[in-house]
Amino acid sequence: MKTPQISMRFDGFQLFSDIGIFVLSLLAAMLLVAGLVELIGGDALAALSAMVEGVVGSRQAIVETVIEATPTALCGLAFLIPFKAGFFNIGAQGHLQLGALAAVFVTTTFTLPAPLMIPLALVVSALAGMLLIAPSLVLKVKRGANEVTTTVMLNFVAIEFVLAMVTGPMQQPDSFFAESNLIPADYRLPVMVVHVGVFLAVAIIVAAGWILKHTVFGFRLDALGGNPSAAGALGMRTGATLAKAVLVAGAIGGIAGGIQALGVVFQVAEHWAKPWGFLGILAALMGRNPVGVIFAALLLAGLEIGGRNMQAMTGVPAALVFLLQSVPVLLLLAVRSTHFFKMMSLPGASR
Amino acid sequence: MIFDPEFLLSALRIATPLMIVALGVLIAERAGVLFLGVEGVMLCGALFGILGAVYTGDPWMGMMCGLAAGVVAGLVSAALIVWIPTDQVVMGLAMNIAAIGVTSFIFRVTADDLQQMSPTIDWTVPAWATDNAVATFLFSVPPLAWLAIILYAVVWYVLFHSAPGLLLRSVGQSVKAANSAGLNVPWVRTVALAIAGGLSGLGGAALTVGWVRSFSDDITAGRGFIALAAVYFGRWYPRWTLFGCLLFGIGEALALRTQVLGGNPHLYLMIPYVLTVCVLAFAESGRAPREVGKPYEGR
Amino acid sequence: MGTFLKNMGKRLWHIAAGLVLAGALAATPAAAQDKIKAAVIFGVSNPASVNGWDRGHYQGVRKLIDGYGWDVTIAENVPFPLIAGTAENYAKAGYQVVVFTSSGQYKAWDQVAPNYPDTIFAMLSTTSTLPESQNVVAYEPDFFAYGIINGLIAAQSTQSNKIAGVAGLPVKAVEDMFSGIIEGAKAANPDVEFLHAISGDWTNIPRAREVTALQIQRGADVVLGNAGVGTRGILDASQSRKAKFIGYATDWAEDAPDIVLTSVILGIDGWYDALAKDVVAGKVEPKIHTFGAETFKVMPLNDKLLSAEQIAKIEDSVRRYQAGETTVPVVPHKFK
Repeated sequence: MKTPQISMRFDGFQLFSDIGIFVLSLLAAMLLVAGLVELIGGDALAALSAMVEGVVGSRQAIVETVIEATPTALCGLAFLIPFKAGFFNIGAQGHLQLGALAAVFVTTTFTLPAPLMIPLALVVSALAGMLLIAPSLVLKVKRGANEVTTTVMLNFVAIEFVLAMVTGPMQQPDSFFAESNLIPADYRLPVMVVHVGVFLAVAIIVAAGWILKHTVFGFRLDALGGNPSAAGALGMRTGATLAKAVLVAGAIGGIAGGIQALGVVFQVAEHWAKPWGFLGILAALMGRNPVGVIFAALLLAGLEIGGRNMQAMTGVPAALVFLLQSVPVLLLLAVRSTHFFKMMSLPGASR
Repeated sequence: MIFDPEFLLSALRIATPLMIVALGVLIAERAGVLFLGVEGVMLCGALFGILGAVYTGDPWMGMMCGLAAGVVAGLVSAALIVWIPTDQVVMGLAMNIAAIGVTSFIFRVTADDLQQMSPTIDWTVPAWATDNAVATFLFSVPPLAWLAIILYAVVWYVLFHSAPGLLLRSVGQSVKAANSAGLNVPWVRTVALAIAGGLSGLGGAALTVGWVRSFSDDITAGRGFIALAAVYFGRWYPRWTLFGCLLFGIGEALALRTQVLGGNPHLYLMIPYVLTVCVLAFAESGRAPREVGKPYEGR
Repeated sequence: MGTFLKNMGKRLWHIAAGLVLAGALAATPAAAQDKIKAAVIFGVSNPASVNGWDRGHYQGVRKLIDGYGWDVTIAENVPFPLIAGTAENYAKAGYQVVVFTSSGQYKAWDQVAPNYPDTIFAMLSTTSTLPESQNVVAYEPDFFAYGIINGLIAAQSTQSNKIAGVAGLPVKAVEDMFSGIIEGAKAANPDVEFLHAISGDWTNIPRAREVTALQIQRGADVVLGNAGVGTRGILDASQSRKAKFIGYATDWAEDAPDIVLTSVILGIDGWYDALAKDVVAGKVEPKIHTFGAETFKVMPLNDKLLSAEQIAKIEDSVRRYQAGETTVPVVPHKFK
């Protein structure tokens, strides 16, 4: 599978017009939701104001949005890095699941001083993510097996494995639910407005952005994604480059899970994870570069948190949460990609 | 206890929706479209299939409704990813989320009528066949499994042994060559997506109308992605895709049956996924149609 | 085209301004209300459509609204990581009562309740401990007794002497219920064998269907299902194979009239009754209220599936158990 060229260039006009289109898309989506709420006899006005309040109504609301965006952004990065090298990683959801399980296992089984334990737990979750992506990589390089199949399948393996653990050896004794023990309070990520995992995630993403843009490794990835045979003919060790990119992606996915376990959920349980891995793919392709991924993830998280607040406060159907999250994204992408708009935004530039 | 005719039937029931959906994905991919929105299209087919079956009282009408809903969803996909065109992956994923919302909302508005199970589509074994084990087995195979096998034969023939199939594959292989041969790439892809959507919708209806006879929010639960994985597993060839779906069905049927041996059921439930990966390790590698995933901007 | 776009833009701008204004208006506090404001948190979407546990809770919610005149908001499809936040938002918004409907929401209950002493946090599901706070209360069924009633009915309706139970996950409530079924069945007919299976999920209808089909193939002719949304699959498998089905928690007769033998009603709306009365009387205290055998109700048995004689016998055995005339030993079994 070939990679469409991803522009790393920061384009001021692009950003502003994106914001403009997004605001209009959001309004259109809100009108749609308002119409549907009225259709089933609800109070559209109350619903929409609850939604707005849910995203920007209070400091707590903004904090929730940022926390919610963190795993999505990291999973986006876990998609983006190998994607540049032509490796289509749908497995972030699985890496996240296994990473969280590993972090919970370490923190609930062993005792260490907290400053040692938290980094150790994150390292172990990164290793867990790498472990899960390794079969996809090996099969791709050695046997030419398509990574779409293997990463999709390994996602489900990870989910079932987590369930096996929380209904088996790692189940909290005497629990009424399929859940692990809680991570001890000492080992949870410290909170400074938001838990420090958010800052760690931003650091990882910014560092990744810099590496992709300014180092030989980043160049090699682009070359590999652009034309693998040419890259090979030029003497590049394509296998090693791909392996690095893919393993890093696994590690990032694992860390996303580790952060979520240590900073937000404090345990793994039945259905503990939302589909952050899949939202991450969406964020990666909307954002197109690591920093863009952060904004796209914030946007997706804001829409979801707002929609959830709307649902909870007014009791409208949960279906509207999904519509409120997806319709603005669909409209934004559709309008941004139209021929008409491209002519406007990139005068004279045609691909 | 584990291996018997019932085991095979269970595997076939599990595999049938996947088989039909995977065939749709295969057609889209052969035309150069990465059809990640398949999960959402399948969900639409699943819902409208059950609505059709309940309202008309005829499961085959339900299947037709699922098919029609799939065609519509496929055309919407075509409008977005062929005609605008937007990025195929991100659009597909966003459409999946939207489909959960749309189907859940419609289901809620109509849920009062869905109290009963929808009518069954399975054949009853005729009296003369009950003594004959083979005949009993053949009548117990879900009708849609037979339909799926026929569809595979048809699609295989059309794709690889007919002129329209050649057109479709050439669009997936090289847009440039197709253009210079005077083909209208967007139209070919639109038709391909309509067929792909129809088959995905039919597969979704096969899940609800043909199998469990009820609907719930997000009932597909990743089965669309598994069908997609089966196409990649099958290297974009109908027979290997069919094999991939059957393999998955056998794996899942085995997973549910091995529970009786004791131990944690979730460890057994990993079987179908691990089995697929393991078999893939021993398969030959294949190449995707070259244009898959690339938006066509040559207008 | 140009003017149209311009007009369109203007109109959108007006609508946007209207929305902002409306938002500001709606956010201002409303006049004081005397209605009690309550919120109920569900894991599934559209609980009214999910027969069993969730519809039982929904019937309870209807009772709060219609019977007690409460102002009730339902949070549905709340993902696990957001449960605590949702409960917190309700407390902040001035809700007097927040109801949790699943044991999986225990952690959120434990975490949020102590911080908002003015709100009552009620768990209407099985639990053995309470959060360290004065504003909590729990109402739960005795799942063992519930299982015994199911076992008594199943054991006296089976012809193959094999009955099957299918559940989503082997959680404590399921283990209690299945243990009760085993003991209840043994009390009625010592030859009955209980087959159990786990579908692995509370939402997966197809898997629940296939594991149930397997149990019927293994010889079970009476099926008891408790797999959340997946219970529809259990019902489908039972109907396709003409096995009798005993409904869980709410009335299932309408879903498949030909095979539903009866439903054993858990009486979840009764817990809401108790909650409403306690709240109104100001008598909420940190206590687990357990609802025992006498609060469960057996729907009329299907006379097309059983003879009048059998029905009388079953009804009599259930009545005697509920009245405490017969005792069944409490023996916990393990299912993994």
